[in-house]
Amino acid sequence: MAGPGTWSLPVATVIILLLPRSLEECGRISLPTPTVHLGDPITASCIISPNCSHLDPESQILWKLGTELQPGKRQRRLADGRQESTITVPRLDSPWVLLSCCLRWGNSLQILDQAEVQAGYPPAAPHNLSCLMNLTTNSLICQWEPGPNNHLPTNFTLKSFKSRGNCQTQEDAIPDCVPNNGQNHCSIPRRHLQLYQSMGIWVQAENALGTSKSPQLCLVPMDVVKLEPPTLWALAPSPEVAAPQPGCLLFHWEPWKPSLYIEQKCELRHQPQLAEASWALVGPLLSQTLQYELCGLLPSTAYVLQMRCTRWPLPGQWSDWSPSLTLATAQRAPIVRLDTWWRQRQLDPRTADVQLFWKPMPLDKYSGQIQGYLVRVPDQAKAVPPLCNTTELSCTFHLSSETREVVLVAYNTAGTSHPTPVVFLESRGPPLARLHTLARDPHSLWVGWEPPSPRPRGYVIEWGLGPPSPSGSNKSWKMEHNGSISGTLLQAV
Amino acid sequence: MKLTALQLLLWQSALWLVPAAAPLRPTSSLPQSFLLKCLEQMRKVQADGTVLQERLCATHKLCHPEELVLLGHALGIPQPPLSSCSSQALQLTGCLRQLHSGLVLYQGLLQALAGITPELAPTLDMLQLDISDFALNIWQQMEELGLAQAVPPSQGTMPTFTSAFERRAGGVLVASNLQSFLELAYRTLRCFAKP
Repeated sequence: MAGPGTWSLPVATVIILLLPRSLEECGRISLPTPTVHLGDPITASCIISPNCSHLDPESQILWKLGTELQPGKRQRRLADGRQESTITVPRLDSPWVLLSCCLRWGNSLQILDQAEVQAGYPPAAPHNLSCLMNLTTNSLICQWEPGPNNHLPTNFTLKSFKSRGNCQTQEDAIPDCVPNNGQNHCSIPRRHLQLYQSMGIWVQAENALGTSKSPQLCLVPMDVVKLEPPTLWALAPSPEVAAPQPGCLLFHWEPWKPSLYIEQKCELRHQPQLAEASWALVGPLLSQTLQYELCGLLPSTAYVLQMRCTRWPLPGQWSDWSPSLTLATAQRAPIVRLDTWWRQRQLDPRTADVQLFWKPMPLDKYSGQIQGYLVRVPDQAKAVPPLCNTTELSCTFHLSSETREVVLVAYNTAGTSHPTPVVFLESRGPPLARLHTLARDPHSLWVGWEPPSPRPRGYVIEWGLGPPSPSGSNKSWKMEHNGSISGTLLQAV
Repeated sequence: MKLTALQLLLWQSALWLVPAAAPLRPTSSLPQSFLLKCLEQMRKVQADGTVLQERLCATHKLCHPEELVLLGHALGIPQPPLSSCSSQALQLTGCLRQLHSGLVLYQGLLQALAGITPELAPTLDMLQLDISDFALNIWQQMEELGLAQAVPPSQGTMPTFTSAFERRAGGVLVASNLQSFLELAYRTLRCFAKP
């Protein structure tokens, strides 16, 4: 005769359908508690009712912990004929365990009941409870840290009561605030608050293994009000608004509108937009003065400004920093020294053709941008057009024989630099000896010489491509203001 | 021209900053923090009242309380006294009591206005909550100073507003009276708050 292991699936199905009632009533697992302390033992029992006895009255009850069979458990027949097996898991190391009560049926293992066991810890006391009064939502928003994971579903409740002074006495209870699932914050609406009276607040954490409470806060809602930041804007230029002083910025701010009834103090912070400088702090600025001129700044520099405010002199929390306002300080007239060099060609006895070259040498880190250069005859009326008005670093002009001097300035919208006089007098210094060159790399050339005696005030080095390039074309030059040096490095630009 | 809430508030702030004609001197000391809180609460209630006035004006064209004087008499809208807070007869205990009783009265008046319009309900609620907080703050201070009576004053008999129009008109009158009431109280408390 074929054993159960050789039955086909339809036959097994028919037999299962013919079994009295259903299989899940065959066995039942009993647990003293479905939740235990992690690491603790747990004992479970499984009883198989006589309903299943026709299968095999002496069936051995087997246990599975997760997917692993647990051999050799205590089993006994009860007075009413039911079979009982007991298992003790000495130490639950997993926060969730599935216990299955089974028995062998032919070659297959039949699961008669399952039970879930959860293991964890009682909740730790929530900590870092803090609250802010939000005037946008008109609610007291409290947040906390729940503490380490206790592996069990844990309910947090924000509890509070109305009080006075330091919250020693409880006056009226405030309805519990229950956060949405998984959130560590909760908002107590305005209708449950007395904005100017003390209230006691704490968080209660509760799971199947216990309850814990955070330390209690005692606060007055308005004393923890956090305002929205003020709005900053630039003052549009107008006849009524004087232009800011050089190195200054003029701006306006307005406190957040719903906070207009609150006296406030504000702080301003600023930093150059491009430089990697730290923020500079200015304050306190009181909310009665809504315009401010910030000075002591670098010229021609874009600054990022931000502001924040707090309730004051009554207590409050600082708002976040406002969105940035970027303003640029006005330009300063160029502060440069102009090194000059020139060549002159006599066109006729009364006229010379002058080629003037210059190089701006900034005298200050913030020397001001240069928009162009002017070459003029000294003491000439401003109405007379200049000899040159150029953005280049050279220009050519005709000069009458009686004019021996011109003046060169750099300019921008803020003004002109100090004038550099250029006198067209051939004054020859002592000749240089032993001029020599050394190519350091493909892009630079060291030029050395023997300093003459007496020492000159400086040197001009002029260089250009050698033959076969046409002589005089694209010559470069450099000025050295130290008469004692005996060489300089020429680098390709 | 319609004034915005901001403009009104700034205008009122400017008004408050004007010193009273006859400078007041505190007859007794009140904690500075209490006074600062009171001043802030007054500004808050004033701002709430301004919002209520603006909305009644914008939606129902009830912009001038002086057009509703007759109706006010007919409805019997009471106005709380604040005589003990006037510069001529300033008296701390009496002033605080009158201020508190007045706020309790306004709480009652606002309750009587319940159902004014669904759109105005949140504004009215906010005003009520802020007045209630303010009254409580004063009451607790009076208790600490030993000035409070055993039983807080009751609201007394309140007018009955029988139509939607009466509630709206009542809202205009109550808000207007409240602003005047607070203006005088503000001047007085500001004087106390000066160092």
